[in-house]
Amino acid sequence: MVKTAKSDSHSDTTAPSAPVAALLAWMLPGLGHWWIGQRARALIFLAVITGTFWTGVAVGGVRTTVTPRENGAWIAAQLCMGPQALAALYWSNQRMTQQKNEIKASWPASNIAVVYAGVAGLLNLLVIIDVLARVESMTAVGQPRPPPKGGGRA
Amino acid sequence: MDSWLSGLFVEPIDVTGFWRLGMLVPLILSISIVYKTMRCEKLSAIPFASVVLCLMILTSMGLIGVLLLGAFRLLA
Repeated sequence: MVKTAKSDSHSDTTAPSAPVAALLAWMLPGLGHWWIGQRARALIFLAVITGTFWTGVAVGGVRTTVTPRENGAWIAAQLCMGPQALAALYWSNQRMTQQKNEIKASWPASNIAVVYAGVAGLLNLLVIIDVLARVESMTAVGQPRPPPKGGGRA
Repeated sequence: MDSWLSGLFVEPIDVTGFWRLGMLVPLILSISIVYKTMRCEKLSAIPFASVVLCLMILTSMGLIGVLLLGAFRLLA
């Protein structure tokens, strides 16, 4: 599915660890790709995914966008953004307790905001899966391919 | 500056008129860029491929919308 670039920093020495790459990718979009040497891709992921998440928060306000009480399953998608989403959730909870009569976003801004932040989280989930696939392909480099199923041609 | 930034993420923005549908474009562009960044082997191919994918998604969604509107009017 995914081809490994020749400039991977880890390909010459030891293969990178998949769990570490996935954890880094969860902590900051693109950090896993940066760690395995795909730095240009990492910067694109960081800019686009972080921008999408915070655009959503800007449209709806943090209290409307990142709230587990009202947004149900969307919060699970948003939490795929990692510490940024956790920080937004903490900020949202703080505002909920401190300023109870704060103005909330009206329709459709509220829905647009939640979808933006949720899609950003889901995109980061895809990036995590992509970095895992790249790490796996890097570890497989140099190993002989297994024979095709059924033994190939008869 | 700090208060402006803080207000930016606290006070909701009114989305009216054209922007109700217009907000779809940056979201689809983000999805297209991330997808093509994963799929394209050459980084130089990403911008064009992303724009093409974005236009394809927008066109498809527009066509589906027109079809659904037509079906709704016929059945109404």
